[in-house]
Amino acid sequence: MNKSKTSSNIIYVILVLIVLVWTLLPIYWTVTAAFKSRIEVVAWPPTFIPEKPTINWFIEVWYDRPNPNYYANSILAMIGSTIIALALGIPAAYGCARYTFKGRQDVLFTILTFRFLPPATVVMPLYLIGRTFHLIDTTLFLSILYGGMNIPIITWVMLSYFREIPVELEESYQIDGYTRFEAFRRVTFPLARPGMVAISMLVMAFSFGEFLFASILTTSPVAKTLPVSIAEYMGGEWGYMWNQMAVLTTYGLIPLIIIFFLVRKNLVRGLTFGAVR
Amino acid sequence: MAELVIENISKKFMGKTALDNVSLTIHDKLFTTIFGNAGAGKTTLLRIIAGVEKPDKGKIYLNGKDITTFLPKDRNVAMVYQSFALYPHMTVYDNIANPLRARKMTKSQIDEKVNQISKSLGIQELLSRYPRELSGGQAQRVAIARSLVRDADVYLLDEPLTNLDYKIREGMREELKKMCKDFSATLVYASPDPLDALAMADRVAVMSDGKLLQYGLTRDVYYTPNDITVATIFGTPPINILKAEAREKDGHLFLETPLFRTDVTKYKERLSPNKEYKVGVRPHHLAISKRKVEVEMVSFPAEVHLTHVVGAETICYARSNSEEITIHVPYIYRMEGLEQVYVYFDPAHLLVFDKDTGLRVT
Amino acid sequence: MRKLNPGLLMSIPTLLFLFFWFFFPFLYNIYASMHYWTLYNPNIQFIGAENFIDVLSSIDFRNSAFASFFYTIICFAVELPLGLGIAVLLSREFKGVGIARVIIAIPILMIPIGTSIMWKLLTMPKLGLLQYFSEVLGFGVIDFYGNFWLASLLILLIDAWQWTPFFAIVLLAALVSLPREPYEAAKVDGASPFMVFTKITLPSIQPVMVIVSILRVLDLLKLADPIFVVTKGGSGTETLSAYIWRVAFKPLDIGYGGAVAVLYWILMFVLANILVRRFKSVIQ
Repeated sequence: MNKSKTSSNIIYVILVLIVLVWTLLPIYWTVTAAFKSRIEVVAWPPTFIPEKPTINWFIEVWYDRPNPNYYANSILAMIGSTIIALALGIPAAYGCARYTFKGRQDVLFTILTFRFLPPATVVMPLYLIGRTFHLIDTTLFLSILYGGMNIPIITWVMLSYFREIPVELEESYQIDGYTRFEAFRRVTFPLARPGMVAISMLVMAFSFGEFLFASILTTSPVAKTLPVSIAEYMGGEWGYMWNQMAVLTTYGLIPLIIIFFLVRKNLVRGLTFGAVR
Repeated sequence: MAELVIENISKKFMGKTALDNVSLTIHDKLFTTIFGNAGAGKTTLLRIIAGVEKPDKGKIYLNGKDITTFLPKDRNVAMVYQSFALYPHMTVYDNIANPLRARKMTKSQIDEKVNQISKSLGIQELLSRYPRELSGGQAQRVAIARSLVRDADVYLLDEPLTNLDYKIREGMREELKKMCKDFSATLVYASPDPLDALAMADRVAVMSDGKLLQYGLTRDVYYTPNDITVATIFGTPPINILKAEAREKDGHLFLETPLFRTDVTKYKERLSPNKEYKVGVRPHHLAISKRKVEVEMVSFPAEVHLTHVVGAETICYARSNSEEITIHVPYIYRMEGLEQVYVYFDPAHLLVFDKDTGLRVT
Repeated sequence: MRKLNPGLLMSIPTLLFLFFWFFFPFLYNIYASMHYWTLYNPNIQFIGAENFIDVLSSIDFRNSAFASFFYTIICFAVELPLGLGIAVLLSREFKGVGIARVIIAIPILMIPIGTSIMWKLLTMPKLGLLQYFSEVLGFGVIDFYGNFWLASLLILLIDAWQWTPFFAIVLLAALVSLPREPYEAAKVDGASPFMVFTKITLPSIQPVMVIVSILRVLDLLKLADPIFVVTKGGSGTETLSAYIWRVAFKPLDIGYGGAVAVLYWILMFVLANILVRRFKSVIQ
């Protein structure tokens, strides 16, 4: 009995270790590539630990790019799109969760339909629209589109959260002597926050890493985003510039990991999409 | 002075009638119970009074002022929900202080009021806890404290005892009644349990299917129900109903049921001979005896087949001439197997209803 | 006039926004698809269904539709069970489980293009770590870039690495928030762990599973990023999204691209409707 328990525990630990190695090894490989020299990164056999670690690539990529704004552009588009998606998704979710009206189902399913839309199918007309309204090369345009693409998921996730919060709490708060909006702000909003944080996290990750729209709707070097910049180091006359791409990938991981650690307490409660009590 | 007038209120949800032309006046400093089964419209009525639901038709006046279109916050009405509706992210203290903060009281005023009310409800020790750390009875006290801490014109309570277990419920009935008097508060209490109304209420409004069936002093409603529906739903265990027929013989008028026959000559003007009626007699108006005794009462033989002891009282289920009879006796009655007994009652307690309209005749 | 329902009022800006930015472009596509229209040529010419006929008779279109479905099926078939397995693994309480749960979530945060680059760096012949392992183990060089099956395996690896954690953490969150009582009752009844899992755990997390699965399947049908970076559409790995990119944007043939977009959109709409209808009761 005891023996079989110990051996099952060993199997268990081995499985967990496999999962962790599978997750971390590629990241380790990429991050260390950022510290290797141009020669070492293509050395055969490969080196596991950089022989002469250097931070030169981090500095070079930061300063010497023709498009030094990529980091700021990506972060701005991430923040802007999350704000837009929340600002438009939450009222719709709240309205559909708290009020019954004719066609409510249709409204919800219409919103959901936009989630199915492949970006590739609308990018061309959007390019033409963007050109007409002088929106090409702006982070505003990217924010609007990323935000719009995430409205459906925000609406649906928040809908199930709002439904789970008893309407009595809001009513009771109003009877206590407050307006409906105050009841929303001080009762429903704080109670739905874990879900909101979790879903915002996903939206941010999506917006920060989006490639297709960004690559077509930005043409000037100063307007490019981080994922587009990575792709620019690929191919071309210098071949694959592994060090630079590794640096940018590492850069890309930093802001999201910081946000992730700040909000991780909300994630476990928030990630069930309100579908489990 | 608080007088709440409800005038011709109607409300439909998705085409389904929840309230149908309900009118009643809630009097100052009285304990009024809205009684009715689930779906009778009690909660909807309370929600309309509180202002979180808008009526389709009708008006509500508080102290002579039309408040039908007022927001909940402008009505000075407090409410305790069946689910208690405590804010899960606030401490007990903050929950109770919430309505006071809305009224822009100073910190020390709030502190004083919260402490005072929690002392009188025995929840001072709980003030720093969160709702999830409370038992059902404690949560209920906090919910009541949150409404009583206010100086409201009317306090609405929506089945606050339903989610509590039997023991606490008994105790809370006493306390609520006392509180109503101590705070000289105007209470409107919705409940599906006739005992709540019988134990606490000054006045009771009986509702069924969105309609107000009867409204009056609790004892009047209980002893002289308007119709057979009120008699049946308002009272526990439910009233015994039997088929009956009026017959004339030698200048006397008798009511004949499968179980007994009784002289009703004094109601001659209201009963017509050879007509069918329904008669009702409440279980606690029945008495049982193992031997036949000669008294000035109606009696009939029956066979007790099940007893159910509640507290120091017993509910007996008996069968006689294939009719089921419930008898409520104020002592513990234990039976050994099936028992043949005689059932007695005072014919003055007999309620007679019209067979077709259900209206009470005597 | 009847007053507008507040709930509807709150939804209207959202609907208008979505219609303006995403439905309007789609109408544009419909218009474009019926015309001969390139950005180089100012003359727009109505040609009816000709673009559609061209698209449907194109082998590349059919191949890319196949690739899209193929990747959707294999990636989903691998990621869901694997994600569920990892979630179950990490739902047990042990020392360090907190940090393990954080670590498995990291791939979701990676820029997809970065992930693809990372895997390219791992699998380039005479360069990547995976190739090194293969050589040490005696398999020699694996030709990930010249063969449809191996290239597809690489795409599966990339997608599974990044998105299996998505299944894992969402299902994990569902697992750890399940109520305890049914488990204790089952224990008392003497149910085997396997029965507990299939009869209690799975049904309880089913709604969450359905929701993430629908989201993932629809996202997989839009798969494009790894194709751009890793295979560049070679060896038959081009998906529908990548195909549109190649035929519409590179030569700026708006009419032809529009026709592909319309067909693609219809496909997605039909599929999504089937999925949503099938699981309507679960997602509500």
